[in-house]
Amino acid sequence: MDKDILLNVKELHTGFESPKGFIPAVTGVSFDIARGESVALVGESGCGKSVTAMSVMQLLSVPPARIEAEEIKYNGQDLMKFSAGKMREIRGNEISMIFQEPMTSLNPILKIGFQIAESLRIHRGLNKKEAWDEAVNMLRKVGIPDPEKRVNEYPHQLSGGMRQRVMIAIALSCRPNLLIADEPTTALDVTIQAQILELIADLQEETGMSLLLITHNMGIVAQMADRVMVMYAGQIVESTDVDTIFDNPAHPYTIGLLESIPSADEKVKTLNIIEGTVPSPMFYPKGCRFAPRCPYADEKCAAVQPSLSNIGNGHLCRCHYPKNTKGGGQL
Amino acid sequence: MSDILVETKELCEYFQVKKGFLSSEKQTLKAVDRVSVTISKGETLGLVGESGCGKTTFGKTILYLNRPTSGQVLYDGTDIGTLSKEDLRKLRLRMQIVYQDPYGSLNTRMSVGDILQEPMVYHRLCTKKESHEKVRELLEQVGLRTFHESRYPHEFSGGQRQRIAIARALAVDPEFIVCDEPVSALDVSVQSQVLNLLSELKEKRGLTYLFISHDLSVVRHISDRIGVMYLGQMVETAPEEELFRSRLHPYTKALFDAMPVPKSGVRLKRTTLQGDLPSPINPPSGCHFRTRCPYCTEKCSQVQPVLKDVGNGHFVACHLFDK
Repeated sequence: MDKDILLNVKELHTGFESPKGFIPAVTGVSFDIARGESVALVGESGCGKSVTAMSVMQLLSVPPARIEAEEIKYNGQDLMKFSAGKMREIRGNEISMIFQEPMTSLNPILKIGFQIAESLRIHRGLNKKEAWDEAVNMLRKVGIPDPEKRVNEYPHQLSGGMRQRVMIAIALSCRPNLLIADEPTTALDVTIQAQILELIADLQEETGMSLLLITHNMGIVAQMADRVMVMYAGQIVESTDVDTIFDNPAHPYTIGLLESIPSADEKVKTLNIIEGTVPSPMFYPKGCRFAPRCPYADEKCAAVQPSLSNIGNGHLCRCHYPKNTKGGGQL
Repeated sequence: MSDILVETKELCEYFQVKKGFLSSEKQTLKAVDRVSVTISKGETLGLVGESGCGKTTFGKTILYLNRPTSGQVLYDGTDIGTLSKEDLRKLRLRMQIVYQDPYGSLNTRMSVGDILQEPMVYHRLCTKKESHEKVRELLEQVGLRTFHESRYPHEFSGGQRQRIAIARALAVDPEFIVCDEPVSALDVSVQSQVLNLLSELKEKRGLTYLFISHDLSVVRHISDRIGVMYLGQMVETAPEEELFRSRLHPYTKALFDAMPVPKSGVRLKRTTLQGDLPSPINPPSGCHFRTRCPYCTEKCSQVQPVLKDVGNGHFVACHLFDK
């Protein structure tokens, strides 16, 4: 069963040194992604979603960052033991990443064709001509009209949606096994967002790559993911398949989060809310990190931190009283 | 519902933009193009559309923060354009705005107390002493604590800042508030807190809102009536329930289809809408939506459709509904 696991992260701890002290951004995150699987990592801003992805890719500068993990295994190799040079071969070739802001991730003074061809020349060793032709191919593949002409344009000549298509073309040009998409559509309008998500899903079907999708939008999760991991305050608090997360969420945070989204199906007078705000990483509570905002919290929650445990069928939940289980009477 | 508070008649807001970096040639960008709407007293009109469709410009023009190129804004029956500077200043007591970005809209060098006092002092509403009392009242109304008065904006989270911005708008006891994407910059769990606050204030004070957002589910939650804008024009308006029951304009349909729904069993749908938003500088002739519309006919490229009444308070600007 374990043999088709592509990425396995165990006990990842990432933090940052700052003048005010050490900031623990990600604390004890473990997860795996199987070949061809789409996993969504959801959570609110500052919960450590992006830092988790950046740690896997080793894109954080050390120091100020401090990355510790039992292991980050990709295809059986431990990425933590890799040298910077070896890691560069993995990035782009094996694992690719697309970011939220397509304007700032593209170089404004280079033609987009050059930017796609660059990774092809470095990673796949193509010569200039071949790489350029392949760049045109990639542009066509991601649905850019008139690719022969567009390949000579600069990022500022393209719209936001087109730029994100170029980013995807760059990320996929070396046929990675894993694509990490960090809020790929957050800066885009809904109709463009739908096009980009469709494109990612199509390309995934075609190439069989795995997808780690980072987002805060539960609607996108419902459309794209096979499995969902919900993060809160640097930890994974719930992890299960996509249907269970919407039909049978067990963690009070997940439940609160889903209830606080205004529904387009029915109108309610007042929305359910989660009281309070996310705690600052410098002052995480001693017990359960959600306890101060949790309507069901008791003394045990304030004192003892719950572990991420299996509550049946691989449904993981970090709560002393998960819903729909024995002893979860409070919910 | 016949008590109309705000009415726009053929409101236009055009901007002159340079054709190129070094060129002196000017082009016209029609940000808001002949928009006529009415907002009744106590009503919330939601305005949805994609970025660049003119939602925000419309919200600003309705308050005369931009002078309209042509057309009229009638506030409580008076044409704002005919008012003197002094009268317009007085009218501002009755209409306020809450902006999208709570990080940019509050002066970082002023304490919360000063921020909330400023509008009262500017409009000479009360003495310094009274204003102190009022500030405390306002803070409590928006769910903050009275000791927050002496704090500065950087000490607050995004949701709290948006509460401060709302309190500032309320400081002069307005009756009409333009909410320009007030929750877009906030996290979901905080967003619902602010939405509830807005509903609660509306009920308590009998406020009228123009609520601008790109998020359909948020707009549905808060609005009584919804207007959909595309490239500076209103393409469909209808009461909230009516619009969610039957969407007529192809653009509204596409917008609803594109919105991801957070529930199980909804895998990715095939989208009907292809292509990008055209530039508002040179919008397509005839119907602006025709370049992306699956039902486009020859007539669409020649004649610009206007809003037509199709019953139930539902208006749509599309040739498909010509009789």
